[in-house]
Amino acid sequence: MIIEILYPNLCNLFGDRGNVVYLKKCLSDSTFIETSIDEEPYFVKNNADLIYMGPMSENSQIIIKEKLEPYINKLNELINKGTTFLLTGNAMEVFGNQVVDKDGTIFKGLGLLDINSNRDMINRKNSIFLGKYKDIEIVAFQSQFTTCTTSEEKIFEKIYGIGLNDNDNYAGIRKNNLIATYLIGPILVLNPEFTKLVLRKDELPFQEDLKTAYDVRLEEYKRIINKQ
Amino acid sequence: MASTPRFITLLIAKSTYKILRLLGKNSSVFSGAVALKLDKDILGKITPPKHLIMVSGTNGKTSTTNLLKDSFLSNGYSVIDNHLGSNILTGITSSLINNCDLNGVCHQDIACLELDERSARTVFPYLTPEYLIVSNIQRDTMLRNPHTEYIFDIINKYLPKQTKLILNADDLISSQLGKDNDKVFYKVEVQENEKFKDNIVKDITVCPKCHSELKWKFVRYNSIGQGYCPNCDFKSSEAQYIAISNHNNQLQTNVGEYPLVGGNRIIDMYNEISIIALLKEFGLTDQEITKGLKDKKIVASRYLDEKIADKTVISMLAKGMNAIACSNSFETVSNDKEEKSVLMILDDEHENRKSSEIVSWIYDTDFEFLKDPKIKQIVVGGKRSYDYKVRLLLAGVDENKIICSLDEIKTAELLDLSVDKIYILWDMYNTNSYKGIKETLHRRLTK
Repeated sequence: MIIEILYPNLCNLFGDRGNVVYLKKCLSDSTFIETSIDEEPYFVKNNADLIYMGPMSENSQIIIKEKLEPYINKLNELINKGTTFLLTGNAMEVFGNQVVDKDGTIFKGLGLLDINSNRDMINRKNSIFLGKYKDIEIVAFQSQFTTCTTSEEKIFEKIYGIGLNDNDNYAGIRKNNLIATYLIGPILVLNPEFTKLVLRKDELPFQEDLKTAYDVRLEEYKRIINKQ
Repeated sequence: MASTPRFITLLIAKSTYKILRLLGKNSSVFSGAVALKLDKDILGKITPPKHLIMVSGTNGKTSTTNLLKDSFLSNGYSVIDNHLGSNILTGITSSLINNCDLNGVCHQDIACLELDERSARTVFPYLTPEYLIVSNIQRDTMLRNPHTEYIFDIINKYLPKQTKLILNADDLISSQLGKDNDKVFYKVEVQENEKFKDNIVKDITVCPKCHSELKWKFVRYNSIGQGYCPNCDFKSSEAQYIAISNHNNQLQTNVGEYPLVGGNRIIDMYNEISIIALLKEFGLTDQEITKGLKDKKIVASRYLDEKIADKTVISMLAKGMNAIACSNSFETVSNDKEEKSVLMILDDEHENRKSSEIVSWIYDTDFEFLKDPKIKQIVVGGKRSYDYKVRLLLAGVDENKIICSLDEIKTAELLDLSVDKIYILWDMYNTNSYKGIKETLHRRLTK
């Protein structure tokens, strides 16, 4: 299996590199390619089984969009043919239509996903997230300046948290095998049952400790939510 | 609505402060809160001391401000500070109100104020510091300070043009502040036998001018080091004040030799050279600077090295939710070549009281430093202890060395005392647990 991590030096905010660290542990036989900002992405001329991109600054969104723009058709082709993508935090906005800032500026994304975001740099939104993916209870965090609306298929049903926006019942989208979500955590470490499902594995490294951490957090989340 | 007249506002705020003090209550920020309620512009109606100096930055600002204040005090200056209050608008307003007369005039010589980076937005419209030291801009708790560009933009936007900046040439981020301001730079020279450890994250990797990947002559930690762009003229600034080395409890610099404050830690050298730069710019003589720095110590709550029975117990602040500060504490532990046990209580009680702590930051933190074979045991306490355990395991720490306890104070009972040295790494909001741990440890060691 070949996994491409796009621009890890820029897309490394909020500890979401933990997803990559854990993937490397889970998929120790796989090849991980970390593409830097000066390099042509691996997926352009080769087959990548999974493409990952994490959260970044607003300025980095502009830089990365410029870097990926020449490969927009290739990315579209990969999404349509079912290549697996995982985009966390505001990485999905780079693939979306646009981000409209409260100050009037507009960031135009790649337009590969029908996502339209609004940004308010003064009021950051922070929250714990409790939700569901199929029958699995998902625990995660949200910490963002943006919210969005979308016509894409929605996933990560929201029980508590910000979600895609305050009025939406979901926190992520899916287009074929592309998964994009505002959830950070890192979600693969925080949610062992979800990770098992995604990686199609029965056992995970450090499973018992992951499960204890998950149980403590889930119980705490439910207590907090019930109090409100 | 018209604001309350200044005299009335100050009278009420100062009276509140005095009454609370008489009642033995912590009143250090109350006067500011009261005054701002009566007049949101009150800070602009106070005349600060003739010399207003501020210290900001992600890490090091508290130690630097305290040391700077002490240096001035030792030279006979009267100084206002905000060490008892907070470093945001309310705390700074309180410090000035508590020290001004009813006409709003502060008669002291100097105000040395620590400034929270985000509070540049609320404080700089009212106060123009004569000097501003910025220690660094690094990733911090993501809830308030999501990334370094965000913090840089806030300081840069509100920074008064008249302020002279004292900037860290080894930080490619904060050293870009105040394009049009008068400024000087300081740095710490590469030390003899210094080992460079690339942290798992850097906060600047791409040239802000041409977006090429930066190159580095050296990286000391995170993005502290000397860097340059291979495709344009962007590079680290030239420093006028350079800490060269430290020997015999003296700090050797390019402008003289001064008493060394703190230990051999690089971060202590950064703090001290920034102070020397400021004192020089301020106009103090070498004798006065030496007098100011002599016999000074880093505040014990941040670094305490003590003997309990026959063991050395080192307590270090490892600010939870702050990946860089925590990584630096872990590196300090790993640099100690003696055998040791480590006790960690890093949960942010402040966050846990409000909600459930976001632990993402631990994946930006170099737990890899704790893979040190000289560490015989790591006891992790708190609600998030299993999150830390997973992180330690992913860092390659031997599972047999790790013990978890959801109860923080109980960690002291679980600690292996067969080694001579014990490190306690604790988050600043965990004071009660820290005290409990110290009591238990003291009892066990002196039994």
